[in-house]
Amino acid sequence: MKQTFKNFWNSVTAVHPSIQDVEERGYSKLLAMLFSYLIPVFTLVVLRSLLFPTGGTPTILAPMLFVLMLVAYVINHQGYSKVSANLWIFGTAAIVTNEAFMHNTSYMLLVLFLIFMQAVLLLSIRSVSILGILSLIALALYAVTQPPALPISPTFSIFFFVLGGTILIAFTNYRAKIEAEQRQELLNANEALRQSEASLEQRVKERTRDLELAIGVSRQITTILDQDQLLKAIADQTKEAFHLYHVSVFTYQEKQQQMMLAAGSGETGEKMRELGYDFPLHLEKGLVPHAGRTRTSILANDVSTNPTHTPNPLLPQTRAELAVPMIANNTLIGVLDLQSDSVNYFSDDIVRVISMLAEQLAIAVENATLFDEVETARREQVAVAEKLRAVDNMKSQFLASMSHELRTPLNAILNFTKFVQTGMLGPVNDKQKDALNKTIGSGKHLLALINDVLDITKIESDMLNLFVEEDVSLSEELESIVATAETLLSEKPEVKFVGDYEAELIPDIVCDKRRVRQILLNLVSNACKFTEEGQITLSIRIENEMVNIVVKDTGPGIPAEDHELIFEPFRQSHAGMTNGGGTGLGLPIARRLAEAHGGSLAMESVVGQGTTFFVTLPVASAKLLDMTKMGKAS
Amino acid sequence: MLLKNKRVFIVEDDAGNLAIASVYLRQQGATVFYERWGRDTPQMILKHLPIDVILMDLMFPNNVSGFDIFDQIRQFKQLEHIPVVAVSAADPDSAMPKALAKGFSGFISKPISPRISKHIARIIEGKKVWAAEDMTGF
Repeated sequence: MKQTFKNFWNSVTAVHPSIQDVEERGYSKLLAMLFSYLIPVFTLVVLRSLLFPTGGTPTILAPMLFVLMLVAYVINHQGYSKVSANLWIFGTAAIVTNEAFMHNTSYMLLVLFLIFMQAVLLLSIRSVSILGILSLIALALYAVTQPPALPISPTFSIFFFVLGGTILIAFTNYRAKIEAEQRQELLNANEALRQSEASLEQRVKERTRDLELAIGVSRQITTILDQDQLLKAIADQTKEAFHLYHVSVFTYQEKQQQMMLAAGSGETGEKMRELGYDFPLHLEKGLVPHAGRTRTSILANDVSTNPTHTPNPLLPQTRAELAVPMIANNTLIGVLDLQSDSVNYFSDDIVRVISMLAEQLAIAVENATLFDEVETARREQVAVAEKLRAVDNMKSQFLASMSHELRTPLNAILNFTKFVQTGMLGPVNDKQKDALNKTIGSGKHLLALINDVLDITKIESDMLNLFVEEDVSLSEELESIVATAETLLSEKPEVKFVGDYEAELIPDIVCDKRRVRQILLNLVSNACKFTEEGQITLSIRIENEMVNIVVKDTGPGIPAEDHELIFEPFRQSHAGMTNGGGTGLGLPIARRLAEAHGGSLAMESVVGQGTTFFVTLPVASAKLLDMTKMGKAS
Repeated sequence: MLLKNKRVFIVEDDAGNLAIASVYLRQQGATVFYERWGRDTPQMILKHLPIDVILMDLMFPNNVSGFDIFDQIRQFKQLEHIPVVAVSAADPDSAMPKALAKGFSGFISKPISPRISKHIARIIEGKKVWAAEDMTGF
């Protein structure tokens, strides 16, 4: 409710947007508020006189005023506040005076005085003066024509109006004087402002140009990370941007407390660098060490009169020199030395801009230094990594050729022993046969060792690559594994081997045949090795596109603390070490091979009851199928 | 008799290895021809045509490799179709992908076993035999 009224009031007394002047807006608002108050009041007055006529001579004063204020309100609302104010004041004055004459009611003249007060508030001096004169004339006329109507003596009323008028005129004159003074002051201030704006604009233009040069230099330069290139670019581009004679960049070597010429503009710069312009920071003469020591810009706008300036025979035309320290993170990075061939070249503005530029350059130089360090560290790391890789490669290659060299004689050892043992080369007795069998067993063990060491090396240097084939017949592989198990168990009639699977239900799988065979052979031969009585069960189930292979034995079992140990390379359970021999590499390799296929190898065991190994392998994973394609493409 | 009437050519520099392979293959009825030095191998094979399968060692003296000899053989139209199987003590992980890419019909690791005849018979049938592990044959 309150808010609605407020909104309504605001819209009724709104000032036309075309009025810009703050003071005029205030007047317009005041007028609008005045009318907004008067219009409802007069509406009631007019309504009352229409509905309940009082008799006597009907007066049109109220309706006329009502119409006048409506018109004035509309004019003010349209943005003509001065017209509106004049219309209102003069209109009311005319109506009231007319009323006084027509109906002989002198109190109206007092109303005229109220109107005059309004005029002082709302109108300009000229309008107030005109109104005052007109009022006095009207009063005089009234006093002359209708003296008996006056409730007070004409002398008094004339005196009253003359005195009041004089005071008002004096007041309005005073106000006019003050306004004129204020206006003049404003004009003066405006003029001053305009002038300072113009000179400011000129300075801003110059500053902008210098800054643009500086920004241009620093933008081009901050992208360069190679330090030598960067310093040379700083020298050349600063020289060009500021039309200088020569620019040198000195870097500060903190350890030696030396200023070192790191780069210079043009060929002279190169020459100076070759000659080596290095000097200690505490050197008495020279602007550069001075700037470095004090960490402030040192300016010699006329070198002929500067005692610290040291002339350089390579730069004969130097007339002015400016040395600006380059500081980043409170650390002195170096000094930027600028030389001009004209005296008084370096204005305050240029010095300021160059100081700012030097700050940027300091950061760029520091970045380049850091980048250099990081880059060097990175290169070293890459070199170390490459070396390690090369060492790994050499190790693998060495082992591969070692394995080749060891397998070749084993071919002869195993096979010729076999020839003798089977009687192919003449009759052998049982003792000899037994000895030859042991030779073959040892040969096979040696071969297994060679293979395991080669495999674990590949695994540890992350160079294990599967040779994946499609349509590998798992049941065919199982046949040879069962055959091996039966050979191994031929001397242990107390141990039964059970194949718990239906060969025709086992699908062909995608895998590295040799590696899968290696996993199964390892588990089955371990079971055969450690089980003294009971049975070994090999069961196979297919579930969710995975082959689950379980090798369960009734051997001694593995104590809980060894359950993870047995999957770590070069570690074996106590029992494994005392009874089994072997490298202790078989299970770690088998687990890693299963994982390389996207499968797993786990175990469960209770001491005294036996051990169960669980192998899972994917039937045909997308990853393995991809590997067969890669194999074929290469 | 897995290899009855089959003619096998062996390229192998080690006399012992050559003898062993020959014994097993002949046991299964094969006729064995061989070449020990890896030089002019295609000409030697051409002399003994028809040949059903070639057994190829991969390492020879003087840096000659079985892969090079394979390329020489394949340059002869008459020898193009003969399956070649690598028989090598090299690390299968590195040698097999190479042999597969070349166009070998298989890879048999050394030491070999009597089961080599079974693998050779399959290769003559046109099958591929990769990663044949022969230790189960002992």
